[in-house]
Amino acid sequence: MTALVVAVTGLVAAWTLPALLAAARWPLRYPRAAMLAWMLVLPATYGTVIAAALSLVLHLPPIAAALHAWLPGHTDALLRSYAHLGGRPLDAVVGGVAASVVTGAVLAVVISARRSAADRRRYLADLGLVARPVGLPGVLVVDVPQPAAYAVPGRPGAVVLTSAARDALDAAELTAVLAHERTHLRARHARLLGVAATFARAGWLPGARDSHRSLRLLAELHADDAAARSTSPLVVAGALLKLGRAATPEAGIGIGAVGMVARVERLLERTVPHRRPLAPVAMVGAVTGLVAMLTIQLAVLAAPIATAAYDAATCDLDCRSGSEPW
Amino acid sequence: MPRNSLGSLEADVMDVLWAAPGPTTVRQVLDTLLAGRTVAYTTVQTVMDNLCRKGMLTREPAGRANVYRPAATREEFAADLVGAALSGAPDPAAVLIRFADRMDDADVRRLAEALERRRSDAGEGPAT
Repeated sequence: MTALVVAVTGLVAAWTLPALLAAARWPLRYPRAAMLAWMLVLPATYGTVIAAALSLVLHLPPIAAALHAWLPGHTDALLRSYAHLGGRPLDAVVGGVAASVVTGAVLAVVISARRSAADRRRYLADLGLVARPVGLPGVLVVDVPQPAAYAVPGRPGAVVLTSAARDALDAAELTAVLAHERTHLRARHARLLGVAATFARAGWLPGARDSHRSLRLLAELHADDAAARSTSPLVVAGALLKLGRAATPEAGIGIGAVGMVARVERLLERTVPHRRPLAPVAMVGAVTGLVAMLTIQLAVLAAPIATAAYDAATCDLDCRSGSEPW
Repeated sequence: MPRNSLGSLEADVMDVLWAAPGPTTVRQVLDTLLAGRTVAYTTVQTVMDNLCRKGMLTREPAGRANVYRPAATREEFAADLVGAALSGAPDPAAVLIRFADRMDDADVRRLAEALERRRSDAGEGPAT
């Protein structure tokens, strides 16, 4: 029963929580906590569904035999605690599907991360042919008439500034843009966004697209906050307007016009006192709730094994001579 | 940007070819480079072959030697590089993260006015 309850809870949560989190307003004020919340949502929902499905493999003879050798005398009770889908073939199929989903997801993330890393290395090498360092650590200027600024992650990464952007921005705005891009690099936003982008390719899954879209905006908000701390919210807003006005329309990786407007409006609101007194409560509630959900789901799943292991460790020799058919 | 020595030589070779008035031989590139550093003919030959393979240079026979020229001007290459970054062509999975996306002109005007109001509210001029 246990696994079934966990799986159903996880599925219901997967259909509801991402939409709730995507619609919430508190993430605008606490982008880092919201990024943490998104990182918790997927394990707490899909993660626990898959863990529950994986628990079916405990019924398969080789694994059950291994369990019996490890926890003599307690295996029958242990296996009774886990759902048994009415036959070993079905257990094997569901457990096998879950295992291949996990393997496939890990492989997809690793492969796409490798490909991105190779693309970035090649890009940085090409950049080295035309860009010049300008005395600021990690900053490269490229002579291009179009104003633009971006971060290329890597080891080390680089902040790229076109000569037109450098000319368009005043000193404070330049400081803000560099602080923004360096925050992307330091916080390794690209890594998180890469995982989210990979997951978003399974766009038919509830929450897959929401998580990617939200994380892209949240990464920008986090970097905007760092830039605002190093200068002021109005300076960052001014730099966004200057570069947003000049940006090329085709958008591949950015957050689009809607995100830009949200970012500028948020920075402008910064100068007035907080108008959302409940935002801290909502933030703490959401993060705590997600941590609790993940913990409880995993604890419920692991409880029978933990109990059996504890019993086996504490019982005396008598109870191991029980009559299990193994 | 730390370059390894071969990468740095590639950049120097490209600089020479971008500055050259026309098609250039390995020997001519070597002579220009030797003004600033010590480097062997075969090394320059290898670097220029690599650059051909990468599509940075084109090679054509001229008499007994080959002459090389850049496939694109420095400006075109830089513009393509930045353009590729901003259009997200190579891989949308966050190869890089740009500062600003394009906004509608109407949004820009509205927000710029709001920004001006906030600046004067804050008692500062436009120079924050």
